[in-house]
Amino acid sequence: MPIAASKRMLRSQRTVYWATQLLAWALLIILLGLYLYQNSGLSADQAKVLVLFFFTGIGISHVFRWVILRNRWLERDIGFVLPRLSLVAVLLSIVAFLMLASSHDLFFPTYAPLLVAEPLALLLNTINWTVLLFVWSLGYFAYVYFIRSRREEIRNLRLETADRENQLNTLRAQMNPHFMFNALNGIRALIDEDPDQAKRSITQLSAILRNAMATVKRNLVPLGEELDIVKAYLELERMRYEERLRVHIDVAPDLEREQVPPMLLQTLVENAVRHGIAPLKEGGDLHISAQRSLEGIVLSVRNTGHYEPGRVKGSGIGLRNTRKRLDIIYGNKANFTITNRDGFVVSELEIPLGALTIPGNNES
Amino acid sequence: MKAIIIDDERLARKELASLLEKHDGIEIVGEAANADEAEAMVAEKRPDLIFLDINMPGRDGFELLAALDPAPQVIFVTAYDEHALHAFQVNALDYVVKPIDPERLAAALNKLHTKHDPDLPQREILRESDQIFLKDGEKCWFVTLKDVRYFESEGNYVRVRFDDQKPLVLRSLNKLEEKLDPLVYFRASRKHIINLRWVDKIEPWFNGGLMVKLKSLDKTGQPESMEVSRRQAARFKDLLSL
Repeated sequence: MPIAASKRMLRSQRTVYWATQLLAWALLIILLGLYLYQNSGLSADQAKVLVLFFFTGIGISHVFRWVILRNRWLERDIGFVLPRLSLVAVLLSIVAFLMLASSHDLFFPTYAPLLVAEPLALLLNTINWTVLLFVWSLGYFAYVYFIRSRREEIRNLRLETADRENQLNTLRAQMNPHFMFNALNGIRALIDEDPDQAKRSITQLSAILRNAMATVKRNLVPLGEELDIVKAYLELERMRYEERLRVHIDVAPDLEREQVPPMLLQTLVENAVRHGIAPLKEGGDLHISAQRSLEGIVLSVRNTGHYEPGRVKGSGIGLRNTRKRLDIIYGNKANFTITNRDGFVVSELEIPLGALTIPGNNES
Repeated sequence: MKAIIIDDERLARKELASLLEKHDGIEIVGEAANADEAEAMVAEKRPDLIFLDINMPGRDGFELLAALDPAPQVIFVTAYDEHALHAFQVNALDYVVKPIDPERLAAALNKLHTKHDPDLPQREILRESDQIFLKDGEKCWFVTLKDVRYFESEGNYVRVRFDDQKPLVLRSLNKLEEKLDPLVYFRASRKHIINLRWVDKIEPWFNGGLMVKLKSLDKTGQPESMEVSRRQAARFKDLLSL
């Protein structure tokens, strides 16, 4: 499809080129003809010479275009191209003059020959052609640049749209609509049953929303902050699952200041709830812990259940994203594993502290 | 109308129940937290209507519904399952999204068949006007039985023919035969159960069997046809001569 499209585009560009070419030269001939007609009346022979002129012009300028394309001058800057254009214009003008003059002398032997005119006339003729061809080349460049800038504009618009779509998808994934709407529904019921709890839930939901908006822009956050979001999220899920979700968190306070990528732990916890606990009628346990290791810090999420890759449709996206993000942020210095251990699914994430390789770091 | 709420979240059930208090016509006779509980409860209480959450631990809402014959009237209650609901080929169902909009719920209730079958709760036999819920892979259908032309056995599965659809569902033709109204659905052979209302012509066939031609056409433009085995042919004649 892209190949066919670009072929079609090429063909239409060629049509435009030829149409413009023919029209421009025809216009020039007509103007010249009118000028002659005004001055001295246009003879039939003069008209024929103008036709010769027309074809010579098209032929030579087409050769000019070939030289430009062949040497890729369209990609060079103007300081480089201008002297070369002038030089080629001069050379081609000599060729053009020779072609026109020889055909003139051949077709109209009764007139004074052009080829062997006096030097001044020869020079003037060549200069005329040089100017003409030089102007033509400028026109050609202008035309190509115009087309290109328009195409560039379209491409930019497209990129912008794609970028925005991407952001939106990220945001949507972080918001997790299923979770949001269920939480809101739960809160609606809580308003009657336990108004205080309902208020707390709204605050927690706001924290999650605010965080989802903010993390699009941030590369690293303190672990403590990430934990707050995880806790808010789990509180809301507790509202839904009640005694089916049993949460245990074990993180040493001195670790809470360490910097970690946002939404990473959150993704693991969400996965654990959604794919681990939610399908269990009796529910299960969820353990979250953070520990120092030799290299940095180990975050671990343990949930009741059994992990089979690819068993649930739609799972794996979060994990793939997690791996991709780790790769971008830490190169191969981070470690991420999911294993089954004694009736639990254990997701373990080891990330180095300090040495980061964040490309295009936009962290404030 | 007797209704059951099926949702794994206590708060969600409570919320729906409180919204339904305003509707005098609806009497909630039970609440279930998963498909297994729900199936037993439906068998026991025979509700006219169920409110069904799609995402549940164990079997989901669709799987539960496929196990209920006849399918009671259903209003799906879901948080965010557009794609799941789009899986429906026949849009003969309604759904409300959480958090539930009371007006939207009222509209859904209004659309229900008001004159429901009073003896539905008692009987075991599926009638022409009953609906069944079919699930084949990702696709789901709500079909009124009278639209089904015939059932065709394929190993442990049954292919159900209606309109231009032919989903394959995990059921046994024998079990189905026991449930279907014998005056309308006839076991023509080991392979087929035919809806007699769709029969157009009957022709004698080899070995004392019969060939039944339906009013519907197959892909080649010929009437759909199937054989009635010799064993069943006599019964078939009896049935039609009535």
